[in-house]
Formats: sequence, C-alpha cells, structure tokens
Amino acid sequence: MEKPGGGGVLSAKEAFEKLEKVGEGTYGKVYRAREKATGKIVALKKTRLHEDEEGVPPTTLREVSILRMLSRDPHVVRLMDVKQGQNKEGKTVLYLVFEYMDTDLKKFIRSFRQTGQTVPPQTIKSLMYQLCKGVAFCHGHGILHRDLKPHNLLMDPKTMMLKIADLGLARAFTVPIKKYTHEILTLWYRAPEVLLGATHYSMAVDIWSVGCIFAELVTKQALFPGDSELQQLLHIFRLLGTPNEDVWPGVSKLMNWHEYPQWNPQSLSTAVPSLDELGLDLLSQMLKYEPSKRISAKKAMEHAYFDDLDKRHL
Amino acid sequence: MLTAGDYSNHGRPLQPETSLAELNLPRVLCVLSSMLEKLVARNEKLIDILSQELDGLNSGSVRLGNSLNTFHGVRAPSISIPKYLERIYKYTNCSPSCFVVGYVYIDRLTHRHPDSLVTSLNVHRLLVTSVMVASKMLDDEHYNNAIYARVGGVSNAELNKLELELLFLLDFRVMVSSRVFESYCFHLEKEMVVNGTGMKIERALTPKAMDDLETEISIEDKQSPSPPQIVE
Repeated sequence: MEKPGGGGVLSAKEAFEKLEKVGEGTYGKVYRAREKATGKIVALKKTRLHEDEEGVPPTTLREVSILRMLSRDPHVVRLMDVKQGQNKEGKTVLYLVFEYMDTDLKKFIRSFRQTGQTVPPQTIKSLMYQLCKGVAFCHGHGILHRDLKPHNLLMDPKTMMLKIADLGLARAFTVPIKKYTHEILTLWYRAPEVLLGATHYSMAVDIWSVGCIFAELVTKQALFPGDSELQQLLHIFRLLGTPNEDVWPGVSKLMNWHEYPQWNPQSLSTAVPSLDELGLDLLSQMLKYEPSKRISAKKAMEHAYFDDLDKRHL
Repeated sequence: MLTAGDYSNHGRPLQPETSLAELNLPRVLCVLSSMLEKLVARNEKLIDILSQELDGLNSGSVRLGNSLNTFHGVRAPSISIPKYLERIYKYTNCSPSCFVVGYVYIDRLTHRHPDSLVTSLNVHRLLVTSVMVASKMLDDEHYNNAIYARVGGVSNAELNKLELELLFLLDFRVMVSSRVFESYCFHLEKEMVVNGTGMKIERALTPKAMDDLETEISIEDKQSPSPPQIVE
C-alpha cells in the first residue's frame, strides 16, 4: 500500500503504462495497464475522491478492505496494491491494482448466444462449482457480496478459471449494525426478500443470485429479467408461484408485501429445459423462497450435481 | 466555530459532574472514554519519564515514532474525551458498534506502529477518524465526512487527509470479523467490571432520532471557517 512522497516510491503514472480503458464505474475508470518494472498486465481501477464532502467512498473502502482479507482465495480477484496519487487538477486519486482477467461471464454467455451454441454442460458445472467455492469462501469470512451477477464474475477463457470481483457493495454480516439498505443488487439477480423490503438479510441473498446465474448459463437468457421491482417480483411469482405464509412464514409481514396476483408454481424444467435432474434439484434448492431453507454455498459444493466433476484443479 | 468550552447539550450546559451514564448513552462510550483516558495518561507519563531521563543524560529530547504525526495538534483540545465521544454519538447517529470497531482500529494502529503513542494531542483526531471509517464500513446509511468534520471540530479537508492517513497506516485492513468484534466487546466488559459496573456493552442497536447539530466546536489549532449549516 503506497502513498506518494515515500522514498523511491513510484507514482501510479510512473509505475504503469495505461494500454486501454476497459470499463467505467460510479467512481472512475478501469484500465488495462502494463507494470513497467515487470511487464505484467494489470487492471488499474482509478477511484476519484472528488467529492470533498464524502472522502473515500464507502464502496471503495469496503472493496479494498474486504479484498485485503479475501484476495488469497483463487476464486476471488486479487488486489495487488493500492496507490495514492493526484490527477491534473491536483485532486486525490486512489489506484487499485488488480490482476488482469480477459473477460467476464456476461461476455462469455453473450458470445455463445451470438453464435447459437450452448455452453457445454461440463463447462457450466465447472464454472458453477468455482462460483460456489468463491461464495463459500466469502461467506466463511463473514462477507456478503450482495451484487453477484455475470458482469462481476471475471474469467480466463483459456483456463476457464472464474473469479468473483467488484466487492463494492459487499459488507460484513457479522457485526451488529443498523438495518441493511434494500437498494442493492442488480434487479435480475435480486432475492425476493430484498425486493419485498426485508431490512435484515443473510448469505441467502447471494445464493439466490447464484441460482439465477446458473439458469442463465444454461439458457443464455436471464431467468427473471424484470425492469422494475414490481415486475421483478411478478417474474419470480409466475415461475415459482406466489408465496404465502405456508411456503414462506413471515412473508406477509415484509415491508413491501401487497396482495399480488396468485400463480401456482411451475416446474423449473419449463424455464431451464436442458438442465439435467441433478442440476434442477440444485437449482430448486438455490431458489427456495424462505431464505433459511436456501442451500448454503458450502452445501451446494457437496451436491451430487458436482459428483462427476474433476475438482483437482479448481 | 465555538471553542470546546462552549460545548452544550441541546442548550442545556453540561455540568462537569454529569456522567455519560446519567445521560442514557450507550455504555460502550463510558468504558471507551475511561480506557482512552487511562491510555493517554499512561503514555504522557511515559513521555515525561523518558524526557527526564534524557535530560539527566543530556541526550536531547524524546524521539518517538512519527506515524501519528498527521493526527497531532499543537495543543490538546479543551473538550474531554467523554464529552467528545458523546458528541460524536449524538450528532452522527452511528451504531454503538462503530465505537467498538473504532477502538479496534486505534488498537491495531498502536500494534502496527508501537513507537507512536496515543496522547492528548492526537486522541481526538484519531477518534473522530476511526469512528467515521467504522461507520462507513458498518452502516449502510451514514453521514459524510463534512458532517463528521463539523461534529469533530476539524475542517473537511483535514478530515479527508486524516482518513487516508489512517487507512494507509492500517494497510486498509479495516474489516473486523465477528470473532474479533466479540473479543473486543469482552475486553471492554472486563474493563467495566474493573470500574465497578459489571454490565454488558451494547451489541444490538436501538433506533435513535437524529439530533439537531446546534453547537459548533473546534479542535483545530487555527480556527477554520464554519462549515455550512445542516438544512432540515
């Protein structure tokens, strides 16, 4: 972790050569860059601290501190360094230096959709196992990701290695705090308890997202592509049935609960027809309404769906 | 900004004998201020002893680590540690847990930089910075640096600088696991037993209305312009 002005410490500008812009987030740009000293390709995430009133954005603070703790896991993107610098206007800038990954799961799925090919079942199995392993590691360290989606899952298409990234919305669920915000998570992957306004939620929100990603890998289409919170809920209810106190005790007490249209649950095979029986069983356990009944990431790794997977290099 | 001596509690001047416990504040503030006051007193006594020994040897002045230099003021602020903690709690609406976690950060600092001592010259700045960072880490809804600066009696620019300084000194290791959190709670509770109040500190939270920030203080050496008023 380096600050400017230290003896012999290079600034980010001196240490790296920017090659191309590869993305843009709320607080700044992401570049593919080359470390001049080693020639190593890295991802440079530039974080502006322009908002004098805010200081270091909480998303940056959480992401960096969580990655300082989790970065040793092979399925979590590695934060190599943090450098402090100044931009042209003399404002403070933080550069997060990450290992570089060629693509992400969103682009990977899109490439199959565009060519009309299906993702090979063993590839799906391998990617899902790695995702469950990465999520289990986060949860084991008391971290909820809260924004799992294909775009935040980085990939090396040569090795088929998958890594969880973008922990800006992540938080510790282990220390007693005020109510959580429900303004989190991209709609399509958002758990029903969050949509219904639950103010305390658990690891199960990440498992719901994992289930949605699983289905999307198989069909190459989002499972629940809602364009508003209400539409998102209705998408879920149409497939899984409108929940009630029998299937989900306490659901009607949630803040955003209303009288919704009544749908009966459909078989998951109608939505994900090419998934085998074991895959459907795992998916159904990931998409249980009652959060406490949803399978854990650790238990998911032990599911029979993964029995025929060679896990030695994962 | 008013000086610390003008600090008041909603227009009702706080009498010197008013204790935190009597004000219905979280017990964690009480034990934390007691521990920090002891720590500061012990460190300043240590500096005095070292200074006297060096004087006797004609070896110049005490040279301590400079890791916490950014947090040093020229003189100690006149507001006491208990009143300062109370002020932060009242006006920032942060979880009581933030004070435990803020203490974890200060403790980590002293372990990472053992030659840098917490004294009356730096304790206030360390407190407001560490509690603010803890709040950003823990609370989904929290006030920004400008509000913390105003509550803490420093300028916004200085608090921004202190925040980065703290983060780099801690190597951005500001995640606190439940195990670590519980062990610090236990440690603070043991201290309460020593102080004769064998009660548990708050782990659960109670909603608390935001008070109007109607009193300004300054712990800066130079008076900085008063920050803008909070608009209701």
